Amino acid sequence: MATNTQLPPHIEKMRSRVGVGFKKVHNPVGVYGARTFESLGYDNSLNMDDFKNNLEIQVSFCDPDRVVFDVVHVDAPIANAIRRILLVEVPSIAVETVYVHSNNSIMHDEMLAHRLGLIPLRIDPRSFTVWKKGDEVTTQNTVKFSLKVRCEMNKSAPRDDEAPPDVLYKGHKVYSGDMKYVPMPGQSFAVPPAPVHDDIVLAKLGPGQDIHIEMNATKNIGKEHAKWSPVSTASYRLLPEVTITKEARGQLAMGLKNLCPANVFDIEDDHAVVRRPRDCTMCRECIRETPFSDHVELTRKRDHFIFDVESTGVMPADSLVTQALNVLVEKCDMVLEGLDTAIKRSSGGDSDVDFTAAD
Amino acid sequence: MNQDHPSNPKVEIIGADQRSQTFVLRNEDHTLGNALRYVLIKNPDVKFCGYSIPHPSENIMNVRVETYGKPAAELFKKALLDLKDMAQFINTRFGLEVESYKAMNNETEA
Repeated sequence: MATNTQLPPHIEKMRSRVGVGFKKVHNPVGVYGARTFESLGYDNSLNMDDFKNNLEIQVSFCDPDRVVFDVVHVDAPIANAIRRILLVEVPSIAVETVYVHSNNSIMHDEMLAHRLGLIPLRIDPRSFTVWKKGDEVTTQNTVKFSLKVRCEMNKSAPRDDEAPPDVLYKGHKVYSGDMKYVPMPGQSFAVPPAPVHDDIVLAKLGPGQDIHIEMNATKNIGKEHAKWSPVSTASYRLLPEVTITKEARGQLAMGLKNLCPANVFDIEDDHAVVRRPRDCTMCRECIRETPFSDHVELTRKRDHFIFDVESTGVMPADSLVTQALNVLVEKCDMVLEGLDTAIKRSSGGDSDVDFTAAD
Repeated sequence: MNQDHPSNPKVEIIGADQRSQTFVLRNEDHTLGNALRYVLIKNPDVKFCGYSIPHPSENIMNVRVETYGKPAAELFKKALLDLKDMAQFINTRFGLEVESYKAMNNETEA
């Protein structure tokens, strides 16, 4: 293929930017075909060496609950694969089977079971195997919990019927923290398994009511049920770009600065400059009306992704991203393996006709 | 967990002409489908590549690859290897960046 030359500016802009107009978005679809710009002498193909040299990753925030990072020079299908895997294909552990020994609260058994399932549990699933219905329960695929609570009248409470139930009764609220880990023989953890939050209200009891439940937590993925999704959100957005196309001075610059609700603009030497483009929410206020719309252009960079991954707390957020990428590698490996068997199968069969020579 | 059973293969290849074949993948969705299509159309030897999931309740995805002359299976394999390489590379770089972020922040705290 032809050596790389620069594309004409207007085409380069179509290729690398998503235009944000007042009434519509321009060029929302990326053009990825290797030969699309062949006639202009531009090579649009994927070169792994270039990819590796160009890739930029920058972490702008990272704590156990949340990681925010930029991935630059990666295209949407790859970024989207990472996002989709984070949502539904990174495994975690959640309550799957619930045995209700006693529940005479007003909360129905199935409702309570559903609520128990949704509680995030701080257990590293990597050392576990997936349990499926009918499988034997072992230390390798199950973590057992029990919940045994009872509500009584509070004898020392003031004799006041108007007092809130928390004062009148002992054990009125059932919290996720009441769930206790029940070790199976031979099972041990460095950190004992427990809910991420111990202050989630599961049910409310009246005096004399009790709940006694045993439950098995198992490993699975969010595709099976959202309770196994390890993230509260995993999203990306494209980097906003605000360009001043025509110099704005004086009153106009001041107007522009005051117009922007995200405070993107500043004034320097009496003319408006773009200071915080990242804060731009693409509200389009600056391109809504003249005279400002003649001076500002909004675009997004097609290959610059700002990821925001929030963990439910079951695992550190940065480790989830790492695991998501490992899942992508595993997927590729599985298909590669399947492809090899398929090729062997077809070359072994005699019914296959080879038309390679035909033209 | 071995889903690649002869009766339910992970990958099936349809098409007698090696230059234009359909790869039938089981238990895969848009996550891999779109990424794979992207890597394939980024290859100048590929004339056409598209994928479809014919029915939402069947876990089947068809990836159609037509080439300018090379065997489609070869390019399909290269695409998978490239995609895997990309994921691994992003993973390594991400790990390094997180590490340096954490190191920086511990320094400023101390």
